[in-house]
Amino acid sequence: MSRTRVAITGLGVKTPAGCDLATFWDTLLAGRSCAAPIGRIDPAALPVRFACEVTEFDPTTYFDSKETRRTDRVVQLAFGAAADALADAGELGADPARCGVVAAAGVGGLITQEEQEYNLFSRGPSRVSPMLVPMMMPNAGAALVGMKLGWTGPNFCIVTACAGGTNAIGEAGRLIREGSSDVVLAGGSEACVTPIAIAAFARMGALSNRNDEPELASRPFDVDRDGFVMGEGAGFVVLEEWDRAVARGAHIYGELAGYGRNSDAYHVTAPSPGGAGAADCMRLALHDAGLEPGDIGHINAHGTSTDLNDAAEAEAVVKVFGERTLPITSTKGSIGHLIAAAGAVEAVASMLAIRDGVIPPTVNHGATEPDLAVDVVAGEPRKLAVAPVVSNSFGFGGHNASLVLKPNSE
Amino acid sequence: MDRDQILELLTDAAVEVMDVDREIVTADARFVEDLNGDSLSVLEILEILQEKLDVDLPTESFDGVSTVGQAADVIVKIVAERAA
Repeated sequence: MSRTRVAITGLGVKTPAGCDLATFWDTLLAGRSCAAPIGRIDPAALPVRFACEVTEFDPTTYFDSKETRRTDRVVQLAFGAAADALADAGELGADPARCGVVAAAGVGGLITQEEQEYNLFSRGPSRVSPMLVPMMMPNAGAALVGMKLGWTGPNFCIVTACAGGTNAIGEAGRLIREGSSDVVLAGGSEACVTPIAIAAFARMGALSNRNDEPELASRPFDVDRDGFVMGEGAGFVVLEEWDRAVARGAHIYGELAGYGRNSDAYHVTAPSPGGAGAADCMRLALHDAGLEPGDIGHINAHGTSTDLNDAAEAEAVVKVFGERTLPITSTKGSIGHLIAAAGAVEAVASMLAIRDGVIPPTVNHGATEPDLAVDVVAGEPRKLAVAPVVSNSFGFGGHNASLVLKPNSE
Repeated sequence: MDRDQILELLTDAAVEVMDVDREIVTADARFVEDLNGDSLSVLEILEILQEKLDVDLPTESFDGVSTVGQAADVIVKIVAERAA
C-alpha cells in the first residue's frame, strides 16, 4: 500500500515583510530589510533598540473587542495567519472532528506576562489580571484557532524554541499520514519584542548590536555578521490528505514530502560540533521523502546570522550535499528571526520559491565567511529549475527539524 | 462614592467587556444570562473597577453575585470599609 500523501493547500502570513502573501513575497524577492528602530515600546534603555516588527496587522479584522482584549498579540498574530491560510485553501467541506491544529510558540504571551509581573511587583498580587493565565500560556494560540473554527480534532502546541514552526508542520503531516486527521492547520507565532526578551537575548550575546544601522544587522552567513535580529509574526499552512484535496478540486501548492527531527543532545544553546545533528536531521528528512541529496534544488536555511548557527549549518549542508553544490538562502536577512514562527514563515517562503522557480536573495549577504563552503544566494533573486526544497530550523535546546517540500507537478 | 456612581462605573465596564448596548445594563441585569458574559467576564469587570477606584476587590467577596446591582452593593461596602 502506498503511503498517504500530504498536500499543502493554503498559506497565510503575518510578518514584518507583509501581512498578505503577495506583499510578503514581493518584499523577499526585492531583498528588502525589515529591521527598524523598535516602535511598540520605548527601547531607549535597551542594549539593542531595533527589531523586525509587524506594523500592518490589525487584530480587529479577525476579533471582536471582547476577544481582542482577552488575547495576547502572539495569539492574535497566530489566528490572523491561520485564518488567511484557511481562506486561501477554499471550501474544505471537512468533518470538524477530522480537522486539527498544531501551533508552535516559543514563550507564549510574553507581552501580557511582563505587564502583569510589573503589576505584581509594583502593586501586589491583588492587581494581577485574572486573564493572565489564559493569555500567556504557550498553547493559547492552538486553543484559540481550534475554538474559533469549531475544529474538535487533535489540537496541541509545540515548544521547541526556534525549531517550533517547522516541528509543527512536520508533526501535523504525521497526523494526516497516520489517519488521525484529514485537514490540519499548522504553523507558529511569536511576539516577544519586549524589554525582557530583548535584554535577555542581548545578554547572551545572541543579538546583533548594530543600533546605528539596523537595516544592515541581519546578514546570514556573511563574514561581518554579529548576531540575529529579533522578529515577530506568524505563519500557517493548511495541510490536507492528498486524495481529498484532489477530489475537492483544491489548489495544491505542493507536497509536504519529508520531515526529519532529532536532537543534538549536546549543549543548551550551542550547536553540536560540525553541525552533526543538523546534518543527520536533513538526512532524516530526505530519507522520509524518499529523495537523494541530488534531487534537492535549494535550501531555505535556518541562517540566523549568529556566528555559531551559520557556521554549524554551513558545515552540515556540506556534509549532506557537498561543497557549494546547492544554493541556499536565509529569509532572516529580510525579516529577522521570528523564533517559533520562523520555520512556518520560511516554509511558506520555500513553497512560493518552488512554485515560482525563483530563490529570494539573502539580504545583507555581501561576502560569505571564507570558512563556509556554501553557495549563498545574494544580491538578486536566482532562478532555479522547479525542484524540491529543504527548509531547516534549529532551536535552543538542540532541537533540529527539517522539511522537504515538493512542487506540485500534477 | 455612592451606589449610583459605582453603578455608572460598572455599566461602563460591562459595555466595554461584554460589548453590549448601554441600555440593557440595568441593576437587575445578570452578567451571564442577560449580558453576554461568561465566567471570566465578571473578573474582567472587577479588574477595571479596581483600577478606577484604586481599591482591592477580592474575588471571593463576589461569591454568589449574579447581577450588576449585587456587584454594586458589594463594592459600596468594600469602599466604605476602606474609608472607615
